[in-house]
Amino acid sequence: MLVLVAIAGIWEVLVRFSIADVQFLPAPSEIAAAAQGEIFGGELVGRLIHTVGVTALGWGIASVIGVGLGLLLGLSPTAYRYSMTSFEVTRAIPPITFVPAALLIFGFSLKMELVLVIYGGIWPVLINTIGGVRSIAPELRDVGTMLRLSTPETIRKIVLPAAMPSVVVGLRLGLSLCLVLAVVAEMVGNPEGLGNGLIRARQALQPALMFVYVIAAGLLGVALNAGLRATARAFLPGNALKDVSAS
Amino acid sequence: MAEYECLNLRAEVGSRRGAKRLVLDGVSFEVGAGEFVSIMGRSGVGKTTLLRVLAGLHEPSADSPTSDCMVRFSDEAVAGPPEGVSLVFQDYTSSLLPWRSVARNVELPLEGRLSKADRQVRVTEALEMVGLADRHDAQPFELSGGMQQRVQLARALASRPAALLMDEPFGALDALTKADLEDQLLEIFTATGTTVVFVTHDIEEAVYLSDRVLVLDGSPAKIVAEIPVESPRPRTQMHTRESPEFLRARHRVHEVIFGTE
Repeated sequence: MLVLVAIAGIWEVLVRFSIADVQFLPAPSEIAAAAQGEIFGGELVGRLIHTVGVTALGWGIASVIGVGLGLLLGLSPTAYRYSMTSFEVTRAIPPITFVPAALLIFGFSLKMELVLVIYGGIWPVLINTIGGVRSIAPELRDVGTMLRLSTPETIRKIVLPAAMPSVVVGLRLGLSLCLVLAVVAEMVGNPEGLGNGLIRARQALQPALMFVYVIAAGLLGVALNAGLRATARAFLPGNALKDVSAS
Repeated sequence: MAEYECLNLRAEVGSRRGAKRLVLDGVSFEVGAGEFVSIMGRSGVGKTTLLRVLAGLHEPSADSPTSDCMVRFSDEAVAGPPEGVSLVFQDYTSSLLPWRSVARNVELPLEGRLSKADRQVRVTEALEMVGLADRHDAQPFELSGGMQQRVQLARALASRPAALLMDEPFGALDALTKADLEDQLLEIFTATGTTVVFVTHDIEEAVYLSDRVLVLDGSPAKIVAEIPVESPRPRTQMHTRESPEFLRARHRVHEVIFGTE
């Protein structure tokens, strides 16, 4: 925190006394003033709600798909063998490269933004769930077999809790990726949210306002991650917690 | 009355590359109800595989239709884990559920079978048997190795099994803890009358605990000797281990495994 304040201070001095003569670089004080205006009289809150909503919804859907598919691939050696190569290849394509295609298919719409967010968010959840399930100790699986648990019971009582630390890592990576993709989609596609706010500010040559949106997106990322960590901490007991906070 | 019957058992173990190795061939023995039998042998000989077959976790291989290979538990062919059989693993750290408390671990086999109140009674009973009644709410990782193994034993006992299969359960423990747990196991064995099949590579331990010691040897392995232990019960670490019956049985097992000098 202190470092941030110091950087802002130096930045302020550099810009105010024109030591660093960069066009369109606003001083922190100007950004603060713009932020005040945008929060109380402008569009910031509405845009923030839009981006949070899309990120959360997309991440939620991506997580359900990712965990479900991850359980299947982690538990079934056959499914794993037949699909892993195609997944490795598909995963290697950066999700952002699908933006133009999504734009053509879905147009400038909320749908386009959601599809992109969901697609990108699935991967980290999927990969980490598979990894978590496959690294469960064979003894633990045998315990379930010995007790003659049904498959749903095994998943609920043994597989999911055992894989949970790894799944939570995937969920956290997925959440930050979903936010990135939502902002990108808003910048080039769906004309709403923080990403669109950034583009509008640039087009209106309002650099201070632009930085307001940059900072808002950053704070949103921090808040989402903190929220997820707190939730994980509340719901995961004992051991799982240690692994989560260590990662 | 025989609880476990094993006739001409063959079992293969697959390697990572898919090649199969015949580990057990022609293994035949019986375990009577309420009997304590140890299975001994050098490491890698197939003791654990044999126990996994008894537990229904490993399928025996009948390669020819005329094969008379058979494994039965209380007069029923073993296909999958039989009702009334509990297994205690050597590695307690990876067989307890670390996200559950001690009591909840012990409760696991009873869930969906008994009412909440009945489960509580059984959990308390099992934890008392292993001397852990006061660690009811502890998390497994807070306990020492010996205590964690007791929790596993309590979990195995909670379902009141007819037979208890144990795979080198005390192999990773220090000598003093091991002696403690051996005596506790004997007490439980006497109190519950459960059948025990115990895999170990410790000759003294096998003789001290068992009514009979079966020695597995060869590749593929079969039972090469069956040594009865005549020492009377109850047994105690000091007196039993000095008794002539104990020494005679130990001598015999040594002879079978290492040969006569």
